[in-house]
Amino acid sequence: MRTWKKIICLALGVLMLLGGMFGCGQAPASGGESSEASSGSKAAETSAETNEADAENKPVLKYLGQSATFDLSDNPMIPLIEEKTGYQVEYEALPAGDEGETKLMMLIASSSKYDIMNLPPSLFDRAYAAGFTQELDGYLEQTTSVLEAVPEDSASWERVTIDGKIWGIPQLKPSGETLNAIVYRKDILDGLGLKEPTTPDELREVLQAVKEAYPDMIPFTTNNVCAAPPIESGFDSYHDWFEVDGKLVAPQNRPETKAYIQYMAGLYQDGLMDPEFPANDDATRLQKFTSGNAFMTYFGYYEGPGFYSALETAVPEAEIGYIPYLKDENGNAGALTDGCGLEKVAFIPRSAEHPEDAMKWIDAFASNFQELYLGIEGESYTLTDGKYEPIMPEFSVHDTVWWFMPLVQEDSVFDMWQARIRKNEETERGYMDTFALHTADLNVETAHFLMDSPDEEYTKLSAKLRQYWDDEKVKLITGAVSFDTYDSIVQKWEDDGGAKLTEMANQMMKE
Amino acid sequence: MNQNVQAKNRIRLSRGDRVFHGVNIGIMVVLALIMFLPFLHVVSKSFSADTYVISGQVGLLPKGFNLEAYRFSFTDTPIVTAFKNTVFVTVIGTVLGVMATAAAAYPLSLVSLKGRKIFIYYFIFTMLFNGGLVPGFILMNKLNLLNNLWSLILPHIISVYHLILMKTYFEGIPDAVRESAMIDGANHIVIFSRIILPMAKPIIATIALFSAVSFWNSYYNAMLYLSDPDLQTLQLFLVNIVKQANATDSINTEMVVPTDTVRAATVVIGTVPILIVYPFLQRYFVAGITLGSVKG
Repeated sequence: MRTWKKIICLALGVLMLLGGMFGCGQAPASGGESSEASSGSKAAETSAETNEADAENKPVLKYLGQSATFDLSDNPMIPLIEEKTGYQVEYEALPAGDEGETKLMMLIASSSKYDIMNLPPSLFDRAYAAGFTQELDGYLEQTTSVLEAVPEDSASWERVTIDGKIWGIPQLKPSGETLNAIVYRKDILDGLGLKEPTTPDELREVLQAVKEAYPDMIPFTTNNVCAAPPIESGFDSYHDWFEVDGKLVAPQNRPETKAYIQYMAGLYQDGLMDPEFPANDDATRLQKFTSGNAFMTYFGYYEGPGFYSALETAVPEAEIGYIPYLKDENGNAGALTDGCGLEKVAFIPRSAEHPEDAMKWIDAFASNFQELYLGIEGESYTLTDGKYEPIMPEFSVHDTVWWFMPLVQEDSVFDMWQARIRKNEETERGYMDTFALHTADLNVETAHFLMDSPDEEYTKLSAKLRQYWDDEKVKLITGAVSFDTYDSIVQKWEDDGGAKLTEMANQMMKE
Repeated sequence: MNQNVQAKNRIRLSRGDRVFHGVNIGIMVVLALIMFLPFLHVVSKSFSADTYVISGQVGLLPKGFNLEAYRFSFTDTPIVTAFKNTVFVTVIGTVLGVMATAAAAYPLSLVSLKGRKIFIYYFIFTMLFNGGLVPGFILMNKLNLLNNLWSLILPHIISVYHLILMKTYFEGIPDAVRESAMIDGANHIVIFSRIILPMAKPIIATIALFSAVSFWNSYYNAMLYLSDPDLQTLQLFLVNIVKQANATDSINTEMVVPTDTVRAATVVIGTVPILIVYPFLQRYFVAGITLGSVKG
């Protein structure tokens, strides 16, 4: 009985102690609790659980990034960045997908104290709309390298400047203007004695011939939103906002779009398209091609790794070709890229505890950009004739720098980025092949930056309508919905917000 | 003579019965296969070479058998940390949870407790109404439990459903047992620890099992409250890694998208522990659900 009492009292005492530690502890102390609680966690210096400032009295910054596909706690970039910027940083990542947005909203609602947030433009918009961001003009004036990396006249600033004030640091997509392709089995085309198609009608003939010669093969397969930019080029329907008589017109309101959808529906009805395409995800689509079951499929260069070798294993006699961007009835071909699009926006939340240091960190990153992005010439990369080539395995230290970087050096990053392509033979092949589609007569248009906008209402409406339109497009193509209803679909698009969107776009264009 | 008796004592199934059993077994085999084969497919993908997986040639057996995906999962992904975190949450959560639930259920099972009805209604109220997502988050923030594994444990230590199960079970223990102990001079704590708990082993095992599985699977709270990558739990890690599959809308080669093979391997790693444990404990699941319902 006595021993039981002792045990119970001891247990109660321990419980109260724990409770006291939580109740009175500040966030850093409870962080300490957690790091011993999460047994065996590799305590990298960045998971610093105390406010210990280092010798120069620099505070520890808190950084929130998008979802990280790698192990954040043990990353070689972290000590490297600390060395170059002089700041210790605690890095955290949002969960992937929609939950990342939910989590961000939670963090905003509880005014979490992050010094830097480095997120995709859509999440930046949400943060801005919630009043969570702050103006950076004052801090920018104290920087030296940020404006060298992202010049003042760069178009990237437009996206983050609202009401004349700058709210975030734009990070341009380092991959620049990339094109996606439609890849096909050249060996089959040659075997049938056909030429590569250059117009939609020629494409149809080719697909027809393939279907007759190989009835079990799927002539053309694509993903569930029926992506096929080279074909869209053949109908001049690849634009987003298109200027007609000084006003912006949405693709939904253009007859060219209808013509393109009708063409695709025609392909589907004649059995020239994969009947299962609405259910295809990217992996399935590629599988159908690499296993030899499909003649032609949509292809993005980043899908290179594994793609070519998979095809070689499954169909050793296969040869690959890429159809050019098709010419429309006027003989023009064009493509839409979002070369102007931003990859991420880095911003300093209103509740940040160390905003000036946050900006200094960004500044230090900018001035050390080349070393952080590529490393040291001769050690992790070589530069010959303007071509950057990686030296493996040293270069792999910089594999994950994309997650950490708040900006890029706009004038040189595109060339530097090529080094990453060259890491993997198959990616390089995919990239080089699709890059070759940039023929001289191809009209490459950059997506109007208005496709995404800091205006929350615009972005939400745009996303909702895009979803609606993609769904209807697929239904029209598969014949689930007849073309007689096309006009009413467009009308619904307008009533549900399309007209408003057009109005907003035209307004923003004037500004 | 003996043989005759034995022959008669065998239950003879009529033809109808045999057909019935046959069809039953057939349907269940088909159902079992429907559930088992996709999992087998994932397991064999995880042991196959990349090229076969991408071209879709892997069926029910691995092709190009290698352990590369597992090596990658264990070294290049935070799965080990995630595992440790989940084990910590599950073990501590279950132990504390069972202790707390039993300690709460016992007084509630005694009719002589003053205000018993009020307490019971108070507990049930929480089953019906919830503060919501944002207030919960703000509460965790103010309690400094954000980025802390305890935020996964403390709010879920007592599940009212389990509490009621236990309470009903305790009520089923005859009063005579308690009264005779009281006559012998035992106080409540002694009765609880020395008499009631040992008698309640079945229900404790059941609640422990339910709690353990619930803690093992906890995802949403982990997603909300934990940002530190060192603290992620297994479920959080698995969901993130599977989601990366569809992250191709941003044309960014730099994103190291784990291949299908690695994804399959991480799914297997996450599922295998529960798979191993379950067959030994499944009778408790079945027994446990009915355990609290039958009185006396």
